Amino acid sequence: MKRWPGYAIFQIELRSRFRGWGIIFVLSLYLLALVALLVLGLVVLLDNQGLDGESLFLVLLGSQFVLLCVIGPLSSCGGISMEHERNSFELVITTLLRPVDIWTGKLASAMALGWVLFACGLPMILFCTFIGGVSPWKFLFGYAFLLVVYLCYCTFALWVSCMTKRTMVSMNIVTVALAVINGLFPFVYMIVSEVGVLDQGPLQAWVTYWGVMMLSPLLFVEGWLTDTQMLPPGTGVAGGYSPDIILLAVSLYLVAAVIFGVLTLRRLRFPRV
Amino acid sequence: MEVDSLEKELGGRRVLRGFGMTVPRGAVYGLIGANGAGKTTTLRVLATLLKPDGGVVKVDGVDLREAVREVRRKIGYMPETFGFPLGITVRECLGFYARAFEVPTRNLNGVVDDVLEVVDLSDRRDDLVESLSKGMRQKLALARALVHDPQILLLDEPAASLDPRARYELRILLLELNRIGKTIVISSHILPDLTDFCTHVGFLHRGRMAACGTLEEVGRHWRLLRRFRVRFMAEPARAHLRLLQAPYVERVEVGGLVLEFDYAGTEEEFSRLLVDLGREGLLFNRVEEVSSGLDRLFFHMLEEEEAGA
Repeated sequence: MKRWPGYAIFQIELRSRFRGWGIIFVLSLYLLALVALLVLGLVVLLDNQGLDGESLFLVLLGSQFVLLCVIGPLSSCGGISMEHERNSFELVITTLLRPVDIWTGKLASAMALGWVLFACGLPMILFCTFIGGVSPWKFLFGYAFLLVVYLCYCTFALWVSCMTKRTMVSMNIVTVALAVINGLFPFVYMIVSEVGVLDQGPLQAWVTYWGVMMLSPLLFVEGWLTDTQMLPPGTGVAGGYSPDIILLAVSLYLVAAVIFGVLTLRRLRFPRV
Repeated sequence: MEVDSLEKELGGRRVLRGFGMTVPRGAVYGLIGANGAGKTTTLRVLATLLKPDGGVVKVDGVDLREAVREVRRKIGYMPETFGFPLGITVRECLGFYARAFEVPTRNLNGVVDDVLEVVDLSDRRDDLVESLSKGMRQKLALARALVHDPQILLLDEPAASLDPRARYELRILLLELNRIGKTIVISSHILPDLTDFCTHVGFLHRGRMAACGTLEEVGRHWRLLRRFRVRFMAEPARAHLRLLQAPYVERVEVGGLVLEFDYAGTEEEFSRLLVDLGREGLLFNRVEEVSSGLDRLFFHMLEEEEAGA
């Protein structure tokens, strides 16, 4: 059977990523953060409404969302730039590997890291489901959406990496982008909601869905899973989280991933002989 | 390998201006030129890293513009500066490049072991790449260029920044590779390294090929005078007189028992001269080539370059 051409890159990236103390440090930190957040959520829940599997699951999923969507892109943003920095890129592109093989190999290794991080959290997921109350549909959607967002962020990080050719620069750009998407947008939404400037009108609906919900995946998934009705009635916009809206969000991130992928491949198409 | 009328512009500057060369199969072709003459650009075009603006490049009959992958199969390239993925062993590193060159999986381990054997890195196969010395990394880069068994090796300044021992080892290795049939195109500033084992040389001057051919052809064309130093065991005065009468000998200088002179004849004629000296009782115990003449040509071109600038 003929192997997938990007396998060479995938294998070497995995070996580089998963060897040495770096990965042990990352995994330990990830697990510590996850356990700390889960315990915090557990304490808050016990103090307020009592032990509830679904609420605990939401805390866990939200924590995983934040951690994975930070670790994944940050570990991918050196994918191409690091090759330039250590002068290994020319040795790679003068082989028979095509740009698409290089890109898929690097993306697959980033996805593998995501899988490992997800797998590390499995005992905690099982704990939540053991308590009960987690709907399978929400469980599946939550992680499917996480997968799509993670994929999109990693393709974005790879694109930035091949644009900048300096890992430190691409790391800064990716960090700022992540902070804006996952921090600034929800913050702006909160301010806007509190002030009430956009209340009771179609403009708020527009801002809610497009400006905040779609661009801030964490807010979107948490809102959906907690059945938050963020739209006031009578706005003229279909409210709630209908399947259409969910599909739209997933499609949005997939399309973004494809766009970043195409941009990266255009940049990697080197040399132009 | 045939290169004809190659043109390349980089950063608004025409680096190659109608450059041409023909590298015969099994040759060791030395590319010589001052900094900025276009050696690296030429090798990067041949290695399919840069798109030529004009001209034709054919590798074993395959046109570079029409079949890049086919050309890559035929070429092993070692750039002047390079790096490897970190955190992997020497064996894994070569395995990666072997896979990238589509070496069949069933042959992979054997190929990697063979190549490591050729470059004498077998005992370091399980060491991490970052633990290798500069000379060993150079050997690893050469192994990487050999992993898909290419017909032609393109080596850009392979001996730069190597210590004399590593340089010597590299030279022996390249001679061995040439012996097993590899065609080698090598650029270097270290002229004695080139003249020791190159069968052909090409002088790049301002993006053009100023002179090319076998060492003898170039020598004849530019009337290159090789300078030799012979240490006689006795009678330096008689040796001096004898050398002054010999054909192709010029500028004889005496320093005790050591005589230095320029020689414009061929290798064969020089051997005959040495035999004649011995027959006539002028015994000597050391003969060394002080200068191949190529370095004079190199400096001559450098001066022209500076004068032009």
